[in-house]
Amino acid sequence: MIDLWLERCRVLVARELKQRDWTLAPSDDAFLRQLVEELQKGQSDADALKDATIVGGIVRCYTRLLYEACGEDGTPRQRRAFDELWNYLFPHAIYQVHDAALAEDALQETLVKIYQKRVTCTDVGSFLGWCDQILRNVIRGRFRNEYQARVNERGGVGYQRKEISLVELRGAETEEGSRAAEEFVADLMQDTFQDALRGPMHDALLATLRDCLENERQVTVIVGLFLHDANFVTLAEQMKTSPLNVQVMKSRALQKLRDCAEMQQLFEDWTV
Amino acid sequence: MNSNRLDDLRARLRAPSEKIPPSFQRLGNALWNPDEDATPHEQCREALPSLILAQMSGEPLAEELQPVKQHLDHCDECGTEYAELLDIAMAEQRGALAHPAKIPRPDLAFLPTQESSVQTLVLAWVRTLLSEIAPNTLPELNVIAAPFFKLAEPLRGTIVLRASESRALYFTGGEITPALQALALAFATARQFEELVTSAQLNQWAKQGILKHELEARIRDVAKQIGIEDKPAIQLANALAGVLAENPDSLKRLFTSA
Repeated sequence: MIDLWLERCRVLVARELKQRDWTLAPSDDAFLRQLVEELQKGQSDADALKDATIVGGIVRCYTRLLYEACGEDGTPRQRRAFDELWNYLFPHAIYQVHDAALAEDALQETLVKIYQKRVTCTDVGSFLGWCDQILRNVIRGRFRNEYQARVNERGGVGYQRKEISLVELRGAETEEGSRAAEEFVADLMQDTFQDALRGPMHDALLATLRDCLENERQVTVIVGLFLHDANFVTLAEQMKTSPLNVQVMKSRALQKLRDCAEMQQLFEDWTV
Repeated sequence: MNSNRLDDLRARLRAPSEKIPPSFQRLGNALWNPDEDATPHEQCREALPSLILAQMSGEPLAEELQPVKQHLDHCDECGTEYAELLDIAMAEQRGALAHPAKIPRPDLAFLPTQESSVQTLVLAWVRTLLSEIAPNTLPELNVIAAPFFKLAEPLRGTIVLRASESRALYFTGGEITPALQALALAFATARQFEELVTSAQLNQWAKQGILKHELEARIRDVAKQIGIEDKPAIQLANALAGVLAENPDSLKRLFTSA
């Protein structure tokens, strides 16, 4: 069984490195051994690991190599590492600014910052995510203002990465989306309807949420995130929306609930 | 609700309670006790890449990430950053990122060249070496390093020290001082080792416990080639081999392969 699992890891390593054009891993089994060590931390049953988890391990192990190579001043490995970072981040930049020239500018500035601030990355296994943060902040800090100014001058539609209003959210609520939200809440309630004492509290809270909030999607977000500890990934997928929309809905919902007398009364009654 | 009642509610939510489930308490704190969250923004932001990687891989969250989740409950600034980064990660996972057929190449001129990185390495070695055997010569090193590299770089490993020759020695009054010897030896060693020694060899010697011995023998040869006399050559070779054996990783940075 262990040989089958190792073989599965080997296949996934070869696939991921090739697909991503990542070339810094040693060609012998050293990388595979690092991966196995990584995956076995806190995991007793290696066979039960999903492919996504193994791929996460591959990314983490390779990212450490990438981080080290980024610090090998003056070497071809360093140049290759920055090349690979550029290839990895370029589609992310395009996704955010929707313009190849802007993406190139933003990314060039990002690479320099990555080189300068590399040592401040605290979790080397998440170095790629850290680089994404740098890119995102470069884009927000500089290009959003510039781009927005350009959009205003032209009067055209360009970069649309901005907060969406509740009106837009309401308008975007398709019948399918609303139905999906209600079904999702119902499923969540079913899954956790375990003890009789909590049943009435759940009912009371749900009723109050529906009274205080503006739409069912906001209720879904609050119930999902807080009461059932769903993460943004699950919620966004279930609600067929983006994590950013989930964040906007959560923020607006919390603002509403904070000032809602009925909500305050409910918690007051519970904590007497 | 007036502020006194709200303060009272906040206080009750802060106290551990069996009256309401932890999830309800979490909602209550997000609403009315955001200041109770002890996680600073900076710490939350630093943890976001780890959090996102764990969530995308379907892994259970590590204990140290739980406070980060609580901070995200109420902090819009961090929550927005988290959501935007997660959006990109999810787009990548479902294959929704556009991958242009041709990606422009980066300008990597900001990276150190191999030359400048070798010079940095060599200087670090020589400083360590001189601080052990001749610390009073360190100020002189600071003066002669730049002009030395300027003249020596084109010659790479084939420099030779001759007292009678060249303006290269002018600034040391025509003498070949210990600082100049150390610098020249370290530089020539670095340049020659790039060509003649491999990372695998270093690993092998280290494994066999003969790293310093092998380095010293080779450095003594280099010393002879560049014209350092026997007695100082032996001393310098021994000292430089010691510095390199203590920190073989710095030596491995000379090599172009992994």
